[in-house]
Amino acid sequence: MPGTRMGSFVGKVLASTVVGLATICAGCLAQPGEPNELPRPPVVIPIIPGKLICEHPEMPATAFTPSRLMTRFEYDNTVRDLLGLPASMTPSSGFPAENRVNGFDNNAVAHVVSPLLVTNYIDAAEALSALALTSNRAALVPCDPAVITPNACGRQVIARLVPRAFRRPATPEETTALERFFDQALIDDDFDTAVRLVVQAILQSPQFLYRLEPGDPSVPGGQLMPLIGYPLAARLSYFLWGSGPDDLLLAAVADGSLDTTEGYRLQVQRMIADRRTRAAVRHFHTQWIETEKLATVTKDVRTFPDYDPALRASWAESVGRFVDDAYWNGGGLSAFLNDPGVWVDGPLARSLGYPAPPNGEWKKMDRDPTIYAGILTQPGIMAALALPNQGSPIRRGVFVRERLLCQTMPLPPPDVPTMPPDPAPNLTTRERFKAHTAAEYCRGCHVRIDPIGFALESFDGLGRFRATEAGKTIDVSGELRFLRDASAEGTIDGAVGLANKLAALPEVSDCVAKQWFRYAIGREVQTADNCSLVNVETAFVDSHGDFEVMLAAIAETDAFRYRVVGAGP
Amino acid sequence: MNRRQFLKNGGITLALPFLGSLLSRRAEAQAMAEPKKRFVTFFNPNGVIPAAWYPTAGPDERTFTVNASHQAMVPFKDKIIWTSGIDMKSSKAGPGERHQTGMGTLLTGKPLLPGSFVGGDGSLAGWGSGISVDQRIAQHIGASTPFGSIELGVRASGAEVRHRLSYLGAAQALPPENDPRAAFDRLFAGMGSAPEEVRRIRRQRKSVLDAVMDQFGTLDARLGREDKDKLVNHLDLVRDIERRIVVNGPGTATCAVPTQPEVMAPDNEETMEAIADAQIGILAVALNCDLTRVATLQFSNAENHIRMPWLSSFGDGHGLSHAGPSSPVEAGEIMKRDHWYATQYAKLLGLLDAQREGDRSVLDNSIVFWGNELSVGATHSHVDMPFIIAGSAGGYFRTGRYLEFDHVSHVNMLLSFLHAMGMEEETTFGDPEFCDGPLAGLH
Repeated sequence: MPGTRMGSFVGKVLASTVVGLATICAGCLAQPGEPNELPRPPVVIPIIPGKLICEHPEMPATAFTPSRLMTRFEYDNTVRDLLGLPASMTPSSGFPAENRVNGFDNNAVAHVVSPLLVTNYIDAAEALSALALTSNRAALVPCDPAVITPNACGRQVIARLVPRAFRRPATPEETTALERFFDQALIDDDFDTAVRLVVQAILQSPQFLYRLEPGDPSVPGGQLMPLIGYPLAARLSYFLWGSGPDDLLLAAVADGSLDTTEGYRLQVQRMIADRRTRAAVRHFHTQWIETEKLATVTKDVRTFPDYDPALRASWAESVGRFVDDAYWNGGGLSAFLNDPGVWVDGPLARSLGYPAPPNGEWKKMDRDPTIYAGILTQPGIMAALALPNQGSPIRRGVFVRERLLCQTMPLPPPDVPTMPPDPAPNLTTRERFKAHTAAEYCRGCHVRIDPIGFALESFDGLGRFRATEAGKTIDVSGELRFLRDASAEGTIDGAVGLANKLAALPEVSDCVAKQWFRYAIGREVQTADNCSLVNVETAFVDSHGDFEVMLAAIAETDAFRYRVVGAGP
Repeated sequence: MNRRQFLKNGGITLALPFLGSLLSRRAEAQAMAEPKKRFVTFFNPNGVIPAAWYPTAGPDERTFTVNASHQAMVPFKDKIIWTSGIDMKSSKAGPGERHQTGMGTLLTGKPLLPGSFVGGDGSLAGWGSGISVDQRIAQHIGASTPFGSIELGVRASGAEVRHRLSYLGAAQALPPENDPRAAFDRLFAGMGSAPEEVRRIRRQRKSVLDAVMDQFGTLDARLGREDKDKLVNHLDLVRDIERRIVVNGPGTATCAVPTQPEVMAPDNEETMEAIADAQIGILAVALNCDLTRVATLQFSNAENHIRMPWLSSFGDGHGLSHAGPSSPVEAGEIMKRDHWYATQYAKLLGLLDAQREGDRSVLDNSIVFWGNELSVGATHSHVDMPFIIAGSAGGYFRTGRYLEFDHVSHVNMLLSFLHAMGMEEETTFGDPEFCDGPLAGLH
């Protein structure tokens, strides 16, 4: 029971060894000389994170997490679950995109309301309330206003909806205010309208839109306290499902079982096994491995005359199914990095030259494991990490550095030409991009990027395998250097060599854990989270890359089970 | 509907006849005495090709030759101020590389907050650190309109510091609406409905927002200060929208309903031209109808990885800008884009100028500021920004001139905007270190 460890540990921030290699991309930092401007000194940031160490595992520690506003993904899931609407409904599709941090949409500091979003909430609530009343009336209105009076029936509507919408029992003040509003609406309008209006008010209430974690009068601001009960249930359900707690989870809070170690673990296991976790895992991947970009990816029909725009959706779904396999069919991280297979539907099969499955159906193709290996050889990933008229060793190399190794790559400096050379009839991509690593000025960064991207040159801008380019056999030799452990550095041979090397690196496993941890806690990882993150990394490595074990480990961390009380008023 | 038709139907031809009904004679007289001022920001990213941009100066500031990129703006030459020599000095004080700092300081006049966005120089930048000038102006002149301000985008995708211009306050970036259909529905909802229907919808919506505010009032007093601040910001927005709903006021139906634009895939090069057309039309009607007096129209963002196939410009916009003026092929593509943006700008000016308001036009009563986050892509410079101001804010600015400044801070220009919008008591804006008074010579 975490409560026994509660107390005054905050402030004793754990020392860490995050120092890493504070290298910069030497040679990329000169500023252009301009009148009236002094060159800025380069700022040094750690590009290669070091291995984290947890120095005081006995002391619970974490950092402050602000209240969290629902993302579009969470809004859609929540209103569908709350009002019993079909899974195909995406009422937030017109909402503005959440402000992003580290690629993720759920940062508690960055994702805030805007006038546009507040207007969107109004419109969505109006549409949803009308829809729920017509399509799912019995779930919303458990009584007959003609039998028990409209006012009494309205009270039942409120009593039924509010605890699930607010993810906890309503306070008397909340209930009274809503009942008063309902009674007034009944004076001005008919019963159905009054129900619609009260549903709209609930859907726009801060108790619904935010996950609020109130403090405790006995715990001063800045102190650590265990998170229990309803707020803990909400953390769990939004982490694993991107939605509100279901009735079983709320019942586990009400009977106290969620606040026991055994009861908590039972709920975590039950929830991970639930289908809703699959959708949330997919959502995480659209951001972590950037497949959301496929929705608006541009391909040049002059280069790819047979490009079918339907591929955008097929690529994304294909990667989603591949991710499902790694997570839910026992393959784990090694399948994620090494499984040569690919899921295809009609458009994708035609693009890759496979026999097309029947219309609307999907089929997993076995592929040659000497050519294909894992996520980096998925056509959707290679097509996303490409330019309209060619692949992109740059985007692919940066992707491996940032998304799989959790390294930081600066943007190209201003006075460096960044126009990718156009495809040329007699030159391979490697030949065209030679200037990057030949010119001293570009080398500092590009020796980290291009030798990874070149290993993936077997895949064109549509993610299709090719053995030759410009009439020449493609040279897929590359290098993987600038790693946490210098002894692991070396040459690589093509996509399979790259995948094998990545699969053997503990820092890749740690990076996957870190990306999930970032997403789960919805804020920047702080020094005080070191022990939490180390525990997740360790659980993931020790389980040989079992994603379910890693998700469960996140739910066990101090960062998840404790909170730092906010500053006073 | 033909994708070109929207503007014609919704913008110009429909805009003209409803003016008479929109303004009573009394209001018209009032408009003459005290112009309804508007402030519009027009933005495109990644700098310009200076050789085709800056006018050729003549013997005096009124005698100059408009350059190649701006030929579409020639009909409005008398209503425009071209500038050179304005620098964005306020970008240099904080973290961030120039795309980030340029976006974050253009309208705020302040350096960026620290954060976790990685810049080209390896520094870690956050969001803009204060309210932007358009939002400050909206607080002053936007109180009486149905919308305090509107932010529209044309492929202004993305959601971090390189993608945002307007700020309600530090780190409170405002997202633009990139979908013309959604923008249309939001601005013109209810138009054309029967007055009693409009009244009923407004009454109900107002009552719901009152109930929402009551729920804010029941919130737990034990929340920390950070959370309370966040919720108060939210409550303020709800209150602001609630306050603007005038149940028994004149229906917006007196304003002619433009044609609803067709559904178009946002953030797509095939639809970009049509989306620009539609957004400009919507923006013009919203301003001409007095649905709002403050607006931003943001094209793309500082990442700008877009092609413009209809101009036969197939290069990646950002890549083109890095190559810049010394590479003739890339420079040619950028000039085509500069020319296209100028054509869009001129289209907006034309729609606002066609709307009479007293003895002036809406354009005359406005400032339509055209900004960029860089001056030249190849150097990522913030020196000599390509800033253009159209409209005189009801005669406040003297237009029809080319003003060559000597490396003055652009924050002074932002302060001038405040003054022009009727806030002459303001003595500074943004970071006071970079603001020592209004820009000399505009007024």
